[in-house]
Amino acid sequence: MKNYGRVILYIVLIIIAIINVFPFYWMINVSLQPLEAVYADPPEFIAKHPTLDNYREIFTKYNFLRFTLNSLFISLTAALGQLFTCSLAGFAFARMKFPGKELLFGLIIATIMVPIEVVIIPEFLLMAKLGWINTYLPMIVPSFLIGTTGVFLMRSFYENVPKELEEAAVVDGAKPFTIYWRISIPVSSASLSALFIISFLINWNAFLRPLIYLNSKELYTLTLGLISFVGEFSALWNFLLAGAVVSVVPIFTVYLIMQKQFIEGITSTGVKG
Amino acid sequence: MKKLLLLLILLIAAGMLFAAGGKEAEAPGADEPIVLEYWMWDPNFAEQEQAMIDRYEAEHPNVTINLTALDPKSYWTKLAAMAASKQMPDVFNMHPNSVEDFVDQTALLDLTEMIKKDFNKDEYFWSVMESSFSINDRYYAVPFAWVGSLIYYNKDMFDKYGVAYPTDGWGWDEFLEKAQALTKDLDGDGKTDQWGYGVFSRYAVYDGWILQNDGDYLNREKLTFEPDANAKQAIQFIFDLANKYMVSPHPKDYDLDKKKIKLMFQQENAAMISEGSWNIKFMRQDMQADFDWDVAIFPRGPNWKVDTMHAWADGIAIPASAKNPEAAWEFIKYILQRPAADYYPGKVPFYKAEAYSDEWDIYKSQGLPPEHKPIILSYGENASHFYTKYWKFWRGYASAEGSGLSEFIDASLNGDMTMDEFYAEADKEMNKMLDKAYR
Amino acid sequence: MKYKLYVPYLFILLAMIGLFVFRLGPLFFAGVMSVTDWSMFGNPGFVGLENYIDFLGDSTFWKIVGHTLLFSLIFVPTIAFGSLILAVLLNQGVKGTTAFRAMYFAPVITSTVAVGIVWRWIFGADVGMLNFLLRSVGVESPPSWLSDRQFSLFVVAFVFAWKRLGYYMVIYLAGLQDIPKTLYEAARIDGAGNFGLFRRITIPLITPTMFFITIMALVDSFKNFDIIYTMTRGGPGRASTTMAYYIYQHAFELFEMGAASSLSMLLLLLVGGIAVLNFYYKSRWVETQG
Repeated sequence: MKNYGRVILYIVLIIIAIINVFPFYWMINVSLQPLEAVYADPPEFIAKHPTLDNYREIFTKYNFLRFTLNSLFISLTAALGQLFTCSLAGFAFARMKFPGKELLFGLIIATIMVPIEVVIIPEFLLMAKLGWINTYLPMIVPSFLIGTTGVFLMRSFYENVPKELEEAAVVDGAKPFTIYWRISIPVSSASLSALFIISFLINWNAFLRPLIYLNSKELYTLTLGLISFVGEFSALWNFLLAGAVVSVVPIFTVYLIMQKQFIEGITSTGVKG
Repeated sequence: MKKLLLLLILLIAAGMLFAAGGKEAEAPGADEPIVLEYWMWDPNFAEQEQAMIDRYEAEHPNVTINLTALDPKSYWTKLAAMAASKQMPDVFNMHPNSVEDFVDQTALLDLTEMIKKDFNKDEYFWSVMESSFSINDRYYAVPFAWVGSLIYYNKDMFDKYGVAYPTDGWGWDEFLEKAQALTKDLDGDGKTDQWGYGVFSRYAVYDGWILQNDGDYLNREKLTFEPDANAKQAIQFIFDLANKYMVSPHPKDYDLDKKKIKLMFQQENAAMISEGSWNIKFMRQDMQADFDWDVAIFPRGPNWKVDTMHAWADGIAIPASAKNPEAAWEFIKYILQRPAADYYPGKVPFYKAEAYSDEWDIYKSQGLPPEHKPIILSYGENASHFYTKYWKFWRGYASAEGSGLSEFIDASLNGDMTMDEFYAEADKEMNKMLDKAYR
Repeated sequence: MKYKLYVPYLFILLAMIGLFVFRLGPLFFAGVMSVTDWSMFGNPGFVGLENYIDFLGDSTFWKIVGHTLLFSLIFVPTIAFGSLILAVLLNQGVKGTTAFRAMYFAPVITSTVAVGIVWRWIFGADVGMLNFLLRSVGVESPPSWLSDRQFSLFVVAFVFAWKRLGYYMVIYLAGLQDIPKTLYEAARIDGAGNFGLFRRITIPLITPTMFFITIMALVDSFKNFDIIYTMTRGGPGRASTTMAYYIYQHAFELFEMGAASSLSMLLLLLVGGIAVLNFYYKSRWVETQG
């Protein structure tokens, strides 16, 4: 009876896995074929004459290498910045007492709820005043300085770290920054990994901000490169899907490498209620 | 790198000497360096554009032109955003579907005097200029090219069923006869799988029918949605194509949008479609049709008076805030003289000498379909369209694709709405939006 | 830990610059602009509450509010229960858990643009995969999912939920791990079956996590611009137009910044209102652990 249950469990897990993986399979399948395959009726589930032409085209003719590097640069800088500023702020909110603490933290939480469409126009004007249009800065600087989710995540984590860890250092007369840097940071590598993945993802897949801020093609991110294949006069779906594969592979690799820490990080922060 | 720079400086210096030695006595200060930011909306043509700019810069050494080629999807978003931050480019592409919105914001330079001074009407397709960029008798942009809506037909399919090709001056009856002869149930399952004509709500597919019946669905005086009797006749005819004669599918069965309508034709699910002339490029290059095809003008309705083409311009404008409008204007005039080969295959140069050249007639010069592409030219003398303020919104375009009027047309073609409901809904919604636009 | 009064502020200095300059500043500005007739080009003029009155009296606006709420109403429960089911299934200690988890998480890390494109094809009326399958099992005329106003919003909300499920699953997994194993063992001795365990132990002990997830999913559900832009462009008609999309149209197609800002404020009110309601009723449905 118990084995019977296990078999059903496996079947269910596998069916869900198929639903999850199929769109990716199809993405790869079409990316290996000419444009016609997209609209084949009935659909061709297995590429008859697979070719890497689409990939060659997007890298040579459409500059996808540059787009990938741009996305990498933006996402990496922003994510690293978040690790620093969010862990600093999270540490202060969890471990220190100061006037206005509750209010400021409340404001951070409240802004999590603000959809980007609400603030994008004034933000654009601000960026224009700063002379940052058509640079990476509008994508990097705000993310670098503040990750609302990040502060929340790190505060929750530090609240769960036993105080005893610090106490020895406090007795030795260590300053707060030393405690943060020498004791708190080392124990929070898992939650920092989780934060890194989350903030990397946000910028890697961002659409509206790059759409509005970047004009020169050399500065385009992968998402902008992708959407440019759906033009007014044509839709190059085969390139689009090859590009989509290119955009998924690096981030998926990062995830696979950091999967263990990521899961551990989410678990240890205690952000679950 | 240093060598390259040195070479560049030498070249520029040489160019300056050459220019100074030229016979044109230039006004003092004309040699001061001028930088123009130029925005266009088609990255596919960025290379040709850059080549032209290089030629221009060689002839005008004191002018530097920075080209930014944006995707059509993000072009307007960015232009609006730049306008908000008061950093508009000095020269940029303009479309009649947006020109009134920009003029309304006093964002565009009035070009009327310059145009009157520098242009000879006979050398250009002036009706396109008038219909596209004249607002309250002032011109706010110059067309560099124009496009119109056409009927595309599959010659091989016509041959297969012994149907004669469309002729100039064909009428609705003739059209319907052909469409009926070409509508087939090929696999015998009782459902049509080859359609005589594919139609849906998009302006480029739909609006040409109304003009060829001497109709109008706008009251141009009051700027309201108010289809006249001729327009209603055309709307009824198209409705019947899908719901009475059954020669056109319900748009939703094929998810018809601007991409799928072309595919319907390319994959031989429809013997005829109507679309903008720019799709000649798509059929010939992007997804080559492996059958012989051609283009024809929209058939004439019972109340036809004169051939009217649903056509509009791709234009260039200068912002009201331009620091150097004269330099921008000189550059625009240069753009207009560009050779026909530089244009999108389905676009017609505004300058007639190029439009009537063999280079533009690709059938003549390269043997590529469509054979009758030049029919567009003569019809371009009588261009008309339905653009107003807020057009994108009420007609259903760009991020509002498929809403506004399009929503009701599609619903009626899908059989989800009767003609009476269509007029009631369209009247209510269209006029709400138009009222907001012109309040 | 001993420190001078200003030290905590040094710790949060960077985050506060970010918060005030790049988050609250623009928000405040949008609030001010919402009572003007500002278009992108000209100078704003004060119009009082005209923008708000215009929208509140317009039936289209209320339709769009309805779509926004419906989107959340589909998305949030799908997430709250769907990801719990995934997490519980994965928490059974089967072989290959890591591999399954990676597969379930894959949609989360894929850009919405790519996700939207692929699913648009799957739901295609004529050449789409789903309708191909439906036809091959004998369904005569399957629906035109995305071109049919009855379905498009549901489809888009479903796809967005599919994309986000894996993320919430991971959070549930973390929550499940906190439930002491001994509780299950004790209940099993009492003769509880699998479903009984789930109902009597898992559900009550997971409610705090579920509350957290509901709030997060709710916030998530309003960030639907990307998926709508790539899948339906708000159509057919306005059938899948939500507030976020409507704001974009007003701002970047009509250049009506004042009106768009007032829409933004109304959206904010909607999000905030629902979140507050949720907190208010929290005590009713979250089992506190004492």
